[in-house]
Amino acid sequence: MSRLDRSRPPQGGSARAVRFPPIERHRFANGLEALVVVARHAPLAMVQVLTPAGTLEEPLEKAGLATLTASLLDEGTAHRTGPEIAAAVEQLGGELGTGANWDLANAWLQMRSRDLGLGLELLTEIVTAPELPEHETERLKQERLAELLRRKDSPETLAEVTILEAVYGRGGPYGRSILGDESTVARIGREDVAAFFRRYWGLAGGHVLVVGDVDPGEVFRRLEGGLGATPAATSPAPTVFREAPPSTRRVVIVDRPHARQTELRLGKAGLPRNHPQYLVLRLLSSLLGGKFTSRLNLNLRERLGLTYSVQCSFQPRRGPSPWVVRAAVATDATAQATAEALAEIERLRTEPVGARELAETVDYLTGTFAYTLQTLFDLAGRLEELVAFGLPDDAFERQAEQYRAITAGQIRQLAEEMLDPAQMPIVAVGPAAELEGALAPFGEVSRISAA
Amino acid sequence: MTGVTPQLVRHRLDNGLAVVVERDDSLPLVAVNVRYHVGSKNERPGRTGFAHLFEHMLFQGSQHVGTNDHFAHVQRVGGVANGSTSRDTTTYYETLPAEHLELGLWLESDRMGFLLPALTAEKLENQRQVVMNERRQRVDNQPYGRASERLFELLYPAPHPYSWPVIGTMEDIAAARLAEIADFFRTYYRPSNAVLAVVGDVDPDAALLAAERWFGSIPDGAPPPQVAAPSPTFAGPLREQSQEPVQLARIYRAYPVPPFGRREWYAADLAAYVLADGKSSPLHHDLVYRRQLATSVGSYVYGTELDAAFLLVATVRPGVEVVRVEEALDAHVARLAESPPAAPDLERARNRITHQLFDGLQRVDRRAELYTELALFFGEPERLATEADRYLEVPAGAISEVAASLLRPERSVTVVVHQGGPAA
Repeated sequence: MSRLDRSRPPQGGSARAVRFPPIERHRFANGLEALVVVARHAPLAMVQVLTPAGTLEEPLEKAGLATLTASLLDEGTAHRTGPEIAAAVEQLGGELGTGANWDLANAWLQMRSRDLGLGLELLTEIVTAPELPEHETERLKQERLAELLRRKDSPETLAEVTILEAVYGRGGPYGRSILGDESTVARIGREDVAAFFRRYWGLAGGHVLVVGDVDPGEVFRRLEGGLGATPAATSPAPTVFREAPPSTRRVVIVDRPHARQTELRLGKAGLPRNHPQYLVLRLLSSLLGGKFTSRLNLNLRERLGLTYSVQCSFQPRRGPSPWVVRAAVATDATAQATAEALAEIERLRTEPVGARELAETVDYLTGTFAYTLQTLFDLAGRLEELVAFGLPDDAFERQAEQYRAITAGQIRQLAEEMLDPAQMPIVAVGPAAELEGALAPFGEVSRISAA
Repeated sequence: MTGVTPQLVRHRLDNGLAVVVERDDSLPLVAVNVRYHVGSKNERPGRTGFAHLFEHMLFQGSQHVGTNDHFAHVQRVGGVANGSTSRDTTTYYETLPAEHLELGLWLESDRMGFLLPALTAEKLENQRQVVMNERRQRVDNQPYGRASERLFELLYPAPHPYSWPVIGTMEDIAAARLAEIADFFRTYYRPSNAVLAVVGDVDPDAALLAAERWFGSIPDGAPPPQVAAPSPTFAGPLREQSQEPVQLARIYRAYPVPPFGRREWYAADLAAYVLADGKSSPLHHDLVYRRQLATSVGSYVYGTELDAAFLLVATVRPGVEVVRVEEALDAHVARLAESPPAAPDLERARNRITHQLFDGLQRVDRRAELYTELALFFGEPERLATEADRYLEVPAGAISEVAASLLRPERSVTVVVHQGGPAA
């Protein structure tokens, strides 16, 4: 054995190819499309139904309707009450969930693969024939109102809601919570839910995703006689929010007089998922604040000790989703943290990223691909992204090559075009008395109350 | 356990380091997990939070790894890394593309064998500030943040080593000295006080050889001092209340139970699942759904090593009196003590536990951390394969016996956070 050299990292063998598992597709006569991916490493299966019933379709004055509708699906059908549905799923050990985001709504069930038949039956029942009972609507509205109250205690949630309002304008698309607020939720009635369900939960434009330890032939056969055979209405074409109104630099302080720390946010409208520069923005965001060795983390945390966590991120959406820098900082360091974060953003606009830093970020983003494909949730999430944005089946496998083609010049150009600090509102959730003076140099300060 | 047939290879190096390897070729990944048998329970009063602060220092480089290079080395090959500290153990891990196994072993062996030359006062000062911000973020600036700390102070009265929080107090974090970091390292960070697990798309024999190569020459030392675990003694029921600037009141209830691994522990964990896991559980169905007294209710058993704790947490619906929710919790616990759970409730609890185990085992990093935990606590990483059976073997009667003997009012500690107090 040769003498061990600890002075530098051992070189790994050659990289092994990571393939996204094959996707089998089938479209049923009623318009529903099924996507099946086999993953046999655990005796589990997951089924997810996707429909275009997202939050962007709800009327502004009834914000929260899409999520409330989704949450009512499993609260009773022609055959079972809500508690009976919960008991049926939970006795198998399974988990059932429903929800909506800006672009679509879903209902999903994870169970042991041997229980797939019963699982499909239950899911079919709740997405095609929910009763949407009056008393459950009222109960869930009360639960939602209590949840909205609880969120006022969370400094992170206050910061998120406030930065969205500051970037997109209050009430505008993406400028509000998908849960709605006290006044909009109070306006929602059972008839609104029923109408929204009828209009947007039509399965003709919908998808069903099945992943896990399953036989695709058997899945298609079961769907053929089940979800694929139900009469399915076509939902209207999805609403598209293409361009965000311009935002301006200002400072919004959410006052929590006795807070022990300040939640800081800087935000800007980002790019839609299908924008040609989408991966450039992902790469830029990772380099700036998406990994431990990002510029923001190395500077604000590892050099200055101002924070435990600082990062920047954005989610894929059909419209220009929010691009947000987040940090929880010691209150007396809020101005310094803000200045440092802005300086890091400015540096992206003025200096080209070095070749080594660029290559390392690309290697991180492409090298972690296998890590993000481990669970049924991971795989279903990827399929959901394909479906939501109409991406080709090889979209993820092609990303490595696409990332490698991105140049330092493209990053700098995107930063110049998109990340103008003069258009970035700043939100600080903490003691206003201490923050107002400190943040005044960053823009016109307004103060709102936390509760 | 059906569906899980781990092919484990085990070996103990001459210096005492236990090594566990499992091959899993589902994806070209490898998880490396090193767990040391030291946690906040090994701290002394006045230095709470030390084990966790120490964990941060292990990411600040070692003799052959530069200050910020640990993450850089991992991320540039497409890996992820982190660490975590609990009451009983401290864990360090990387998940890497499988061909980079040796990178993980190099990094972990360098900090196990060659940490001290890289320690500086400047790094300690920086991480002290980071950890103080972590405490603010996770505890001080969170609603109800102090309540669970108070609950454990009451449940495990000092000098019980579980009486203080893992993150420590601000005062103690401020007090830590560089020389103490070095002492702590020499005392606890030695091969025979640790377990290495490697799980993934690797050849087990080659992985064992690689482990031997990187870790084999690290010298061992004297066994670290053992921590005494005084049995929790308090004359209950204990109940404390506070007013805080929160919108909804919340009840935290705890009972001491035997440590993780005992038969009674599994029975207690099943009792927790029976009572409150899922919408169809009796507590959720009654308190949240039917009577609408609470917005949420949960029940958990901590898997700690010296003693464990059974927890009930309920958030009170606006306009509902806290005492009504407390009475309802008491009534459900009393009912379980009087008669075994109904068959559907027991079936639900067993199936949910099994399902969640399978769900976690999909991840190589999760498997690796379970192996190191079971190896450190019991010397038996293979126990993972029979973990579900331990639950299935618990008869319904044992669940009510545990409820009757352990979940008695005089063994309970309650902390109630009422709405009010100064505005946040």
